[in-house]
Amino acid sequence: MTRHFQTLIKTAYIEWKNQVRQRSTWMLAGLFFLIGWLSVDRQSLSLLSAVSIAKSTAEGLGGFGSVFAVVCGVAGFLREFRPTYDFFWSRTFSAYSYIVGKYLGVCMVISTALLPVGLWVTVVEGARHGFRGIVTQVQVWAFILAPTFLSVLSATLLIGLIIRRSLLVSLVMVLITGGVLALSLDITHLSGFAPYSIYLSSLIGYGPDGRLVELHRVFYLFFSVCNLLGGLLVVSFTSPRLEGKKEQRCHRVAWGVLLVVVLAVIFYVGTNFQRESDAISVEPTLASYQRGWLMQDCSKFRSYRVELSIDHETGYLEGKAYIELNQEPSSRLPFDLNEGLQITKIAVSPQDVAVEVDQNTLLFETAEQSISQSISVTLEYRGTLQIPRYLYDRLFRPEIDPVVETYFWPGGYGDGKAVFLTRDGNWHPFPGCSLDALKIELKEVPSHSRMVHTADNVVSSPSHITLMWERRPPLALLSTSPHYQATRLGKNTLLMPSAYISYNDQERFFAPYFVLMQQIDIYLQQERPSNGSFQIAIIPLIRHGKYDPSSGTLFLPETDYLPMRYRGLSYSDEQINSPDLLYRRWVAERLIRLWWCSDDICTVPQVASDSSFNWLSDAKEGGGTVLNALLFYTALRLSEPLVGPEFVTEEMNLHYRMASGETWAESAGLPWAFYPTDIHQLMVSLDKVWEEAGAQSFWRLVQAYHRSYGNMSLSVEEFSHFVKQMTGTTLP
Amino acid sequence: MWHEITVASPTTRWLLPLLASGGLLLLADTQSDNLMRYEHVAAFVEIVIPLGVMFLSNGLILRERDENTLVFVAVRTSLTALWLRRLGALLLASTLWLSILLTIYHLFYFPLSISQMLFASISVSLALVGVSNVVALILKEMNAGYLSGIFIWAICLIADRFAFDVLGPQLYLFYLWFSIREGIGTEAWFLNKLALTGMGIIFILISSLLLRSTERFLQDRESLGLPR
Repeated sequence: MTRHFQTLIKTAYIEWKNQVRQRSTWMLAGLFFLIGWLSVDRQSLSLLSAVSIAKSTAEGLGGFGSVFAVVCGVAGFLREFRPTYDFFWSRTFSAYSYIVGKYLGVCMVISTALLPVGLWVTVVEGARHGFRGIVTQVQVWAFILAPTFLSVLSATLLIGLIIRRSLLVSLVMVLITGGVLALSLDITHLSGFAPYSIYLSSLIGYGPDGRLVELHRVFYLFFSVCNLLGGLLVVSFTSPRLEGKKEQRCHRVAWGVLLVVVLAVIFYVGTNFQRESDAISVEPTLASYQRGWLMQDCSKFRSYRVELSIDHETGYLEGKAYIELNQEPSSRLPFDLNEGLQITKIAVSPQDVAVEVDQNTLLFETAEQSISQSISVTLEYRGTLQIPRYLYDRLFRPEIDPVVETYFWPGGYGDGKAVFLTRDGNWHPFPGCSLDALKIELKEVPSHSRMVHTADNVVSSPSHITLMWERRPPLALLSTSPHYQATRLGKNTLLMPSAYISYNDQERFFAPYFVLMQQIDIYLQQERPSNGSFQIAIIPLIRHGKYDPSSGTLFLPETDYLPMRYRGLSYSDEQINSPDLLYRRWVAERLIRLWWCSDDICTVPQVASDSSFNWLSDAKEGGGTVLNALLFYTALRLSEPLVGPEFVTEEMNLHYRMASGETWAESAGLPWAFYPTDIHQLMVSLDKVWEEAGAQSFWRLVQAYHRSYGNMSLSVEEFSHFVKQMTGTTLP
Repeated sequence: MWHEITVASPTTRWLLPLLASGGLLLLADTQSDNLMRYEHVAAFVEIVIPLGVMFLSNGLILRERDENTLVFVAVRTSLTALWLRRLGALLLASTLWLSILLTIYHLFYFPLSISQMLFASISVSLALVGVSNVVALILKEMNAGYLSGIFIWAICLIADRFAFDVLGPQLYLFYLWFSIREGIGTEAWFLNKLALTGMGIIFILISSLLLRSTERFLQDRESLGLPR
């Protein structure tokens, strides 16, 4: 055994030594470096989290690198398979150890060639995110890159040992890898050689993709082992010399057992991968989106409250929904519960009411003679949230309907890494109906976990926290994770995953939110103002933010387009084109819209696409012109402490010019850049109202509009009347 | 020339017919969409065949260098002439097999312009051969040539849009395939192939110059009584 091991190690070492001396190996290193370099968006480097830098380089190298690794592998594996080398193969050493040694040696060569790019990424990660960033790089590379190279090299070895002609093997392997990567010829149906386009978050790792990625990587590791075993079998048949009989028998038995085990694992993993892939890659229809929430009839509800228990370690949910309904002789109550949650028990009072579940509908039957005032229903359900890919915040999002852009429909996520919940999600059976009270019990909470919540009352004991909302809960409910890192910015707290963004950028990108939250608190939040300290939590999977002004809690998406927008702007001396000021202006725009829909006023949640702010309003005419203009102007005025009066004047000058039909290229970076002329005309009018009636009257106007009309956009005439009524000023 | 190529690169004898036979698999394609058929043919002609030619061309001289038999060859004849002769034979052989395949396509698969497809294939082959041989001869390693050739090939195939943006419509390798796939019109294909041919020839000339600098045995031919 020791002799075999020595052969293996020596072969690996000599192979490595031979190849490292060759210029082509260093050319390979150069190519790897180039690919790594091109894989990272260097313009946005400072905004990228450690995990996204590591992921993009690992994916780039896994894809392109596979093609080059083939050439390196063929050179190493087949060097000694030539007619004149038969003498070499007849020497007394184990051919198996030699082959495995060669494989290890080539893997070492590839690792060596990866060193320059690896070091560059390490330097970048270290400089941006410190030691934590380097650890992330090692983890992500080991998970994404290593199995890819191992499987490609093992396949090269097997095909090489069968064909034994380096040129043909190279050609075949390059065509296969190129075909799989470019032409989607994925004969294994396992997403090619690397798990591309997976969700990888700094906070929840691979999140809902986690099991899929694990299965994928395990599959390819065992695929590599299978290829190696196949290679050894080929050698045992084709090698010119024979091993000793006893040794040969032992080898064959060991080989046979190992091969059966490996094939069984590959079959098991492959089947499970396919099942998991089908479950999360399901393509939705518009009907499936609109099912439930949009169709739910809440008019029968007298009260609705939920008690939920979440196991932080496993993400397992157990819930009880208490519903009081107006009683009718027979009624149907559609519900929408996440596919991962199952109803386990239904209790009804009075007891003579018959209830049954038909697909996603509760059917009630009451005897005519015993109709009482109301029915009390208790639904018990349990399970784990299932999050299909089409609901992720950035991937696989079909363009079915603009409404779907707004949802992260499960409304929550839970595992050992993080738990978060937002109000309108299908973690409770009637997400479209108003909750009167909510109680959430968090179990097995790690001691070093950090939490943001909007609850009215909290009871906590070690590893056990109970949160209670005694009135209608806000959109943002809770977020907790042991991976959160808390940063104090003045009186305010920012909770974000470690190795997410550098300290300087924290100040630049998040401080404006706190200023604006305070502005909203002072000027717009009449009822239940916050206590003056605010908190922001970064949340994975969601696309848009959620804001609860009464607790001063803001949830922001982990993959946020606003910092990217900042990086996309070129620096200018002009105020109106200054990236810093424009960024703050965008933040104001986002926050005013989040505030506007922070309660139950909007029938659909707020929308902000990557390029502009769309508004889903119940517009009477003009597609929400009045409401948009009001919000644009309000955001501008709110942002004044951040952008300064000069910016406000410059922006208003642009509105005056655009209101008269001119177009100005310098407005391209502003949120309203591509809106029609009537918006600008209205903004000019609102500016005149501000000047004539004063700031206080204007804020009262906004508050009153919010309170009275919510998401409805009035006609210009109606708005003019409303302005006159509220401020005493005529809308010009 | 045939003897030269079969001795220097015996693989050519069976690899080119094998690739051409592989191309016959397209005949099993039952769909009737002519645009898809055109795209498949373009993919085979521009992507697969030139890769094979590039692989074969790299070993025309350097295989003997790797096997330490080049010294013997070098005293026999000028390496430049030898290499150009072998390359010419390789290109002729590949053109021959490709012509046969294209004729079969034309008759049984999809009516196409054989000359257009031949030109498309040869120009890409020349470009890939030129680049890979220059790199291989500069670094004096066959693998270096393979890597550089595959790099350009893979970039143009896998990151096709990126490569098209970077190289432009003149120097992007698989213009015919890309233009059909992206629906951008094939009008500029001739200019593209002309540019690639020019680039390929320039690189091949550079390779010849690089070979000349290694011919240390030729100067002694006369003293050895060998013919010039």
